[in-house]
Amino acid sequence: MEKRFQIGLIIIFIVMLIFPTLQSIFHFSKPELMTSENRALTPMPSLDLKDIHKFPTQFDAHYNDYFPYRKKLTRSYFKLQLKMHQSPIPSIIFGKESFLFSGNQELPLYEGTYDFCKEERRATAEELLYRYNYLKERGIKFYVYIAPTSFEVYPEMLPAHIKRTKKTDTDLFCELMQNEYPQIPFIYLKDSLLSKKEKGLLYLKNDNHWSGLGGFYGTNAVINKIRKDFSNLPHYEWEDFKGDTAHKMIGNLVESINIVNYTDCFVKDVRYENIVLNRENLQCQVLPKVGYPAPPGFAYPDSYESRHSTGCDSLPNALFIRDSYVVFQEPFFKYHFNKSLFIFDAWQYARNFDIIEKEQPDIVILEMYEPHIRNLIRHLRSEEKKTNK
Amino acid sequence: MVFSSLTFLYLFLPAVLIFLLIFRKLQYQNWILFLFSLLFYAWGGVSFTLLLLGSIFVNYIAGLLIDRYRKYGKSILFGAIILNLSTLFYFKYANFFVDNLNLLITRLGASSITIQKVILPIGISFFTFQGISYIVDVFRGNVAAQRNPVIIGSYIALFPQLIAGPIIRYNEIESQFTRRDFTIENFYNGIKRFTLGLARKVFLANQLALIADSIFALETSEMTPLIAWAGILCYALQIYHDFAGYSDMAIGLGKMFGFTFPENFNFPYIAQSIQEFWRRWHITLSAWFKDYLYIPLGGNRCSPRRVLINLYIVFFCTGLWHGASWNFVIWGLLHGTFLVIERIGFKKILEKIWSPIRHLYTLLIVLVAWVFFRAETLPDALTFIKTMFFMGGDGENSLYLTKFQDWINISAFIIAILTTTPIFSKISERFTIWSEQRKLTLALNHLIIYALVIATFIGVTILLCVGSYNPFIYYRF
Repeated sequence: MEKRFQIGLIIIFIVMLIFPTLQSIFHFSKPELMTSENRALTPMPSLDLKDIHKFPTQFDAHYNDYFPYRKKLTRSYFKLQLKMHQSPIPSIIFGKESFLFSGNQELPLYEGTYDFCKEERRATAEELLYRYNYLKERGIKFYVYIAPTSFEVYPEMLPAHIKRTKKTDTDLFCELMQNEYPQIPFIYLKDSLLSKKEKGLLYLKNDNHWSGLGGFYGTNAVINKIRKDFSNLPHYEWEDFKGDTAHKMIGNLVESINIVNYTDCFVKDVRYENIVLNRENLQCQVLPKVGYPAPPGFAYPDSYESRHSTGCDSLPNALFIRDSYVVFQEPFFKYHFNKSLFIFDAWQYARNFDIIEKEQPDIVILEMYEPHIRNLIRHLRSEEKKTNK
Repeated sequence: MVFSSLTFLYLFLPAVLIFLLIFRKLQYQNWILFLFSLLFYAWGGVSFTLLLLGSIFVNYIAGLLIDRYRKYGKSILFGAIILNLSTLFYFKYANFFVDNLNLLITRLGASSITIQKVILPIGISFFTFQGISYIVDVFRGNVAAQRNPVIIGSYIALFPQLIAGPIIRYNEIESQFTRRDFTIENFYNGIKRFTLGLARKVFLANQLALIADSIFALETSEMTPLIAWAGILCYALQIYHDFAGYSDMAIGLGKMFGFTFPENFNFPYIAQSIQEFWRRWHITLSAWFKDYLYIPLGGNRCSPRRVLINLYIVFFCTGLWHGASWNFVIWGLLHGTFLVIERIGFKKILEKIWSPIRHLYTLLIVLVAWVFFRAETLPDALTFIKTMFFMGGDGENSLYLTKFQDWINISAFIIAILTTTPIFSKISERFTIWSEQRKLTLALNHLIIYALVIATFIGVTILLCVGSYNPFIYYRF
């Protein structure tokens, strides 16, 4: 009898161990791959004798990604964690009042453990000065602004254990820009947004981006800066715009957990769509794309270039080098210029001088999300390395 | 390759088991274990497999030569030990040695020496010590030289204990290569032990590591005494369950294959003195140092002063064996010092003290010593200890620990503490007696074991899958 039980466990054990392999071969149930990670799954490495030392690590990564039932098992864990009102992955931080925060680069930046060193900050400032001078020689005005993280605008919604460092790397970069490069028009939108918090929710709760309202006030702060050089830029209030409101639970933070509609951990965010200016005398049209090539491998090639025109010749033409934060500003920005071109260059914030030479805008505006500022210099250096090779 | 990985659990281990079940002859099984051990080792560093093969070759030949030329046995043994230790020294201590030498010579005005960074091959300390154990045992006549290279290869490279022990002496396992019990009962017990180790590693050690790592990464300005004590307590639990869990898995795998490996841990945190702690912690390493260093140095058979010096030498080496850093040396010497203090009289005082105080004394020394073991640098360790004892670290973030207040961390912490004591063994014994009296033993006991094994594997697999979940909020290219 004892032996029978022992044999029983041995059989169960061996079946458990070989079952995933059998599933991979015979597909007892339909294989499901994880798609919510926003990354390509690791392919099966080839057994190359020259690079054989890399094989085990690559194989492990491949096997982990394609492990049968990975999706089901991961989701079951996520569900359990969400039932306990706890974040299932470290990259998502559960804040107060259903606020979600991104724990990727935003958290270390806020806590002061980010890696944007003094030398890189200086190099970034020097690069901005180089661009400023280059554009100045061509009679083009250059503006730089930084989109803050939701940590900076809604610190009171963060969990109690998260404490801000005295000076973040963004603070240090701003100080450097203001003290040593005052000629470059530069804005960090944190204070502007903090002063508008009573107007409504400026950041989405399920996303690390600002809301339509946050985008609007961010736009106004930038336009106010530009207006010092171009006094004829129009001024708009929030009420001047109309749009459809949609209540959505899916933000990029919720999406990365991949269990939407499962739990009361998430609330619906109000999203504004199809925003237009509610004035008959000023219309804005979408212009056809020129077709500038997007960086190879960029996941959103359709978003690389977008163009608008209000047809008001008295207004300047603007070229934006931007990231995803401008998606929530584009509907407002476009009504301030004659022609506006938005280039989303895959968070590289590159010089894009070829586009500037071709477009000949009056204004170039560079927008950077604060954790990504360092991309500017890192991308430039990697490009230089490639060129030197 | 590590045991707590999907590749090991669901590809490597079933492949080994299937081969062993098909080829039942020991001769074939030794070959299977040897080849799979090489594959296991190559997974952690393909090029270092040559080093492992070199170690096997040197010790195999040295064993044969010692056996054949007894007259020159001492010289051959000496040469082979030098070869083993110089390899270990080069791969493990070269950078450390050069760094310290540079500190010295640059102070004297000479220019510093630069060497290429030497990468540490995984498990080198373990397989080197096993190799030395073999040739010394042959020299001492405790065992005959092994003529079958596959057996020596399997002994030195046997994958269950290759990278984290237990350190097995050749004389303990020699006979098992020619006669071992690949039986249903052993297999069954091996599964239970392996599963226990896996649970300790994945559920307890890995979870507590998150807390300990997070606290040890804090700046002094963010630290408070409470946070520091929480950090070192979590680290003490982490290292115990990690190491003992690995030993459990090794012993369990050994049992499945028919081997009996020596025990490596025996509830070290219930020790009431440092002497007792070392009888319970990493038992096979202590035994190795005792047999191959302490006794050859003269052991207890010399003058009291010399015995103390011998103890210091042993603990200096124990510290250095764990890693090439002064922190490890200090950790070893700290233990050595308290062992010496106990030996010269404090033990008699301790025996008269109330046992909870004895526990506290031992835990205090062990915990403070762990700070040196865990901290990156000596100044970091000293700052951490100062914070523990309210001599600094008036951190502002008193709410930091709330970060870890979730059901997983709290339950891992409580279970980790409880399992440092024999409480579960006692409960299990009582349960067996209770169920025997009610004639429920067999079915109920086994059903509980089935449920625990299945639940552990599902839980571990879930956590390993979650560990590989790596979402990008933005697409990257």
